[in-house]
Amino acid sequence: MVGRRQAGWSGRERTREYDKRVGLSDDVARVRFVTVDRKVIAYTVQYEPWVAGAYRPAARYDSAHGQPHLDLLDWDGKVVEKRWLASTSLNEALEDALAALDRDWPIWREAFLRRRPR
Amino acid sequence: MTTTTVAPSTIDDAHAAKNGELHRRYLRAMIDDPDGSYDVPNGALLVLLPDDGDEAFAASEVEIGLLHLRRGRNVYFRHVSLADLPEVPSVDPPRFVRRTRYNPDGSVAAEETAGPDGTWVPAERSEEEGR
Repeated sequence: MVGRRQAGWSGRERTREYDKRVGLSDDVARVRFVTVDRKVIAYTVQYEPWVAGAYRPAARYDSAHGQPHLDLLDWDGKVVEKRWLASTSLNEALEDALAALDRDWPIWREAFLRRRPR
Repeated sequence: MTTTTVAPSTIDDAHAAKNGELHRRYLRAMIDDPDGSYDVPNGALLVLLPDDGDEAFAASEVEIGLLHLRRGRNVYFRHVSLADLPEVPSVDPPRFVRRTRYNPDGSVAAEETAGPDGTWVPAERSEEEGR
């Protein structure tokens, strides 16, 4: 699980973690990835909209389970839906995740707000 | 749609697309980086300021960075020379091939595969895929 690794070097593995702004919004994506010799071996790109005074995880592109996929999350961080992506290299999947999130964040934001507890 | 947008009125779809492409190029530079020259402080929000003379873009990005800084986020402003960043091709949308929906108790509610017309149709669930 890439999210549990400390940023930095571990042998030949290198873990990096940073945030980027998403789309037109003041939301962010938390990007974490692990490389070995320029090859991505694990990644997460977690979309965190700014809602009610906090950044809240709403969707996560992830390489766990051996295949790139997207997790849609509820307000407690539990997975409510998992969408599997066609197999590709993780380098390509990570770049695709950034591009897909820049395109689709309004959909995931809207869906997340609909799941808000009453 | 309930979307909170940032104040700068100069931000539009073209601005967002430019920022997205910049970040994909920077990501590739980070992956290819042998000596750490593209490193970002751990966990910081990365704000990229390209050397293309687009002052409006830079001003908006700085304003947005300061917004996140005031919220308590560490922000890393990074000047980048576009000539030094690798090019990235425009990417096709990732294609979802299957989806699993869950009940509130964690059990599987539905397992579906993507049909050729984009609709979801029921499918058998693989045993090896956990939640």
